[in-house]
Formats: sequence, structure tokens, C-alpha cells
Amino acid sequence: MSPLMRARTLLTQVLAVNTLLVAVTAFVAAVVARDRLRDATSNEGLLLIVLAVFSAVLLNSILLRRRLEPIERLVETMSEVDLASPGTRASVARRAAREVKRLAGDFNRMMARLEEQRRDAGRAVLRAQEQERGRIAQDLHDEVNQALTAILLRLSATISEAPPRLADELRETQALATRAMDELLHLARQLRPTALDDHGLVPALASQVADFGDRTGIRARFERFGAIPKLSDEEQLVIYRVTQESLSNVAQHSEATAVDVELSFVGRTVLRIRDDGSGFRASRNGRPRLGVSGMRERALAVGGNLTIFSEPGEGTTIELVMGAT
Amino acid sequence: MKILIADDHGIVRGGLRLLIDRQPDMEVVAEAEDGVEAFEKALAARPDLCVLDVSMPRMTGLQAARQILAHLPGTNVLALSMHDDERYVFDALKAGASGYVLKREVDQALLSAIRAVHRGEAFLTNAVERSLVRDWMSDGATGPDEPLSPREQEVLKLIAEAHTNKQIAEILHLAEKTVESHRANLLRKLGMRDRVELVRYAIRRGLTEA
Repeated sequence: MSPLMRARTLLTQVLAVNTLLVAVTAFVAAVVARDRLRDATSNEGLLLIVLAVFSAVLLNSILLRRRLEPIERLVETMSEVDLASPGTRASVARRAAREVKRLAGDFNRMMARLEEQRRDAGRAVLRAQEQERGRIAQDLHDEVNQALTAILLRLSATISEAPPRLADELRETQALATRAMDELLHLARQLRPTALDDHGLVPALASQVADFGDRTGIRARFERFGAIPKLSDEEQLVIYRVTQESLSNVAQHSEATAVDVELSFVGRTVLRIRDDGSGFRASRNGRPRLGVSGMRERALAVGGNLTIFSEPGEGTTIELVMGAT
Repeated sequence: MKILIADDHGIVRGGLRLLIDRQPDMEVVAEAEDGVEAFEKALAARPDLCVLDVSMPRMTGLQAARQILAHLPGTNVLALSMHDDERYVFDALKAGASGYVLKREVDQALLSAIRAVHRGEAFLTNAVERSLVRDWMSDGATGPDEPLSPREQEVLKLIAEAHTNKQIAEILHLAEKTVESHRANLLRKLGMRDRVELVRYAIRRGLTEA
């Protein structure tokens, strides 16, 4: 098949073939008829033949277009599909040809498999990431902080025998060590949300939001609506991490003065983080901002969906809907 | 004042000993690197006061505190911890500790805490009190009821740390049969199927580190 042929649509190809066929048949018929019936006026006969050919091709085109429409729809669906927003499926009309139905069926099965694999891979990555974070947190906690504790104790022991001027300097060094410890403890808590294991999702979120407010001076409020349903560990972790990432974005980019975190269990489980900051225009080329794609991956891994609403000057709202797909 | 110190980190024990021994009225008479050793050494050395790290292998500081206080009622216990988590504070006080000092505050608070606890007073630093108040004001103030007995918690911790029944029996001075029945009871009480689930529970309850 020539490249030119390949570039044409199926419809034009079939139409071309059919037109050729009808035309040849008509002309052969005309030649045969002229031999048999010599009295037929040739001009009228010719016109009739041309008309017949034309209407045959027209009818053919209309019928074919209807027949081929399901394929076009299928092709459109296929080119629109995006694994980052799963759930798109091809649907075919009942009158569609068996091949088209099979094609659509196979496509849908393939999509389901791809989405499942992507979810599994996403989950595995997240699990590995959490484990690694946990290990780092543990190290910070167990090794570095214990060493700092020992430093504090030793400095205290030295201070009791040091001359007053040196004692003051040593006390300043102690204050530095204490500050380093505080920062490491905060970091370890960020890396491994032990509060989630110890207290459950809602208290962990409440204390995360309260800590955020204390640390940044941004007015932060947490509210829960409805009774908490049974959520898997992974789902809870995703809700916790999305809140964490969103709040960190609020602190770094938004210039917000207030942020509301809402967790609603009325109907679906929905997490909403809304700030009154500067907002941003969603970039036109569709490239999400740093951290957003990570949150989206997390959401996908547990079958959730993450949406960001923002306009310059209008603040930003991040919404995570669980079980959306 | 005779003092026992227990922490699974040698550098912290070293620091504690240096600071405490430098005080004219205090002396470190025993060092332990886990809860079991702390209990055994306490029985031998009969200290006036035990400074116990809350998170230790084999037996937590709180489990050791319970054992020590049961056998040596005249001793006082000061809990030492990296965690300002109110849950640990509550558990420490319930286990019989008279004071709770955060490791980040040792330089400010340790010596005064030791003296206060030795006088028979309770001692909490401001940071610890704040965490208690915060917990009081949040809706999870009471926390879930603990379904396990102290002995079952001790067995649970050792199971979570991958000790065999035989080792557990040796550490806790129990018959192996008793350990087996504790293990069965644990699974039944918590409605769990296997060790993996027990480990997760133990981590959640702060009995062992992840």
C-alpha cells in the first residue's frame, strides 16, 4: 500500500473502491445495452447512467459513513485516553460491527490492565518511599539525636566546673544543640508520621495542622465532617501526605494568611485544603507544579482523584476525592 | 543517692554517668542497656532512683519500671524519653514513674528532676505538661482501653522483637508452656492471625520501634 493510500481515511478508501466498481459495472452495462437496443438515444442513456452511478455512490457514502462511525468514535476515545486520569472507556453502539465491538472490548480490557498495573507500580513505589523515609527517620532519631543528647549531658557536666565566662559560652552551645534536636525531631516526624500509627488519622491531621499554624504563623484550621469510615492504612497515609504536601506548598508559595483543611466523610471521603493566598494560573502546557504530580500519583495509587482549583489572586483549593475511580 | 541508669545507647549512658557522678550528692551504681538488665541490676544494686529510657529493646523502660517498683517499692523512677508524645507520658505515669524528662531538655531538667523525684515529688517539664494539656483538650483524651495485661504486653514486645518462645521464657523467667499460652491469648484477644499483625500492633502501641 502506498503512503498516500495509508494516509486516507477508511471511508474514502472504501468509497473510492465502490465508486470505481459501480462506474465500471454501469459502463459495461451501457455498452452491452447499446449493442442490444440500438434505438436507445445515446445521450439520454449516458445521462441516466451517470445519474445512476452518482446516486449509487451517494447512497453508498451515507450508508458507509453510518457503518464506519463507531470506528471513528473508538479512534477518538483511544487518542484522548490518559493514564493519569483513569476510567476512560470506549463505548460502542449496539448496531456496530462485530469487529468494532471486539476491538473496543479488547481496548477496554487492555486499558483496565494498564491502569491496574500502573496503580500497582505506583503503590509499590510509594511503599518503598515510605519505608525509606521511615529508615531515615529512625536513623535521625536513634543515632543523631542520641548523640546530641549525650552532647547536652556532657556540656552540662563541664559547665559545673567551668569558669563563669566559659560556662556562658557552653550554655550557648547547649542551646544550639537543643535547636538542632528540635529540627531533627520535626524532620523525623515529617518523614515518618508516627502520630498516624499511634493515634489514627483525625488526631494526626489535627495535630499536623496545629503544628503548621504554630510554626508558620499562618492561621490554620482543621475541621472534620461525618463519621470516619474504615479506611485502609494506605488511604490514611495518602490523606496525611497530601495534607502535608499541600501545607508545605501553602507555606512556600502562596503568601496566604489562612488555610482551611477539611476532611469530610459525608458521602465520599473528601479532603479539601483551601488557602487565601496568591493562587496561580494552571500552566497551559499542562505541566503540573512541583509536588503536585507526586500528590496525584499518591491519589491514583489508592483509586483517588486529585483536583486543583486556582486563579491568580483567588487562592488555591486542593481537593482529594477518595474512591473516585 | 544511689542511681541506676538505663538506656540502649552507650553514648547517652556515658553522658548521664558523667553528669550524675559529678554531683556531690549522687552516684551511678548500675548501668543497663535494656529493660531486662535494668530490672536485674536494680534487684542486685537496690538503687534509690532509676533513670529509665522509655524505648529500649527486650523490655521497655515502662515495663521495667513496673517490675522494679513491684519488687522495690522504696525506689523512685524517672522516665527519660525522646518522645513528647502525650501517650508515652500517660503510660509512664501509669507505670509508676514519678517524673518524665525529654531528652531535648536533659541539660535544663535532669538534675532538678532527679532531686525532685528523690524527695518524693512528681516532676514534669513545661513541654511535657503542655503535651498533656494538648491531649486533654483534643477529643481523643481518654484513648482506647488497653486490652492486654502488663505481662501480656511484655510477651508481645518480645514476640515483636523476634524472640523465640524459649528465649522469651528465659528473659521473663517463665515456663515455655506459659509463654505459649500467652501467645495464644494475645492472638485471641486482639483477634489477630499471625506474628506480622502482632508486630504492627506492638509498634502502634509504642512497645517496640519500627
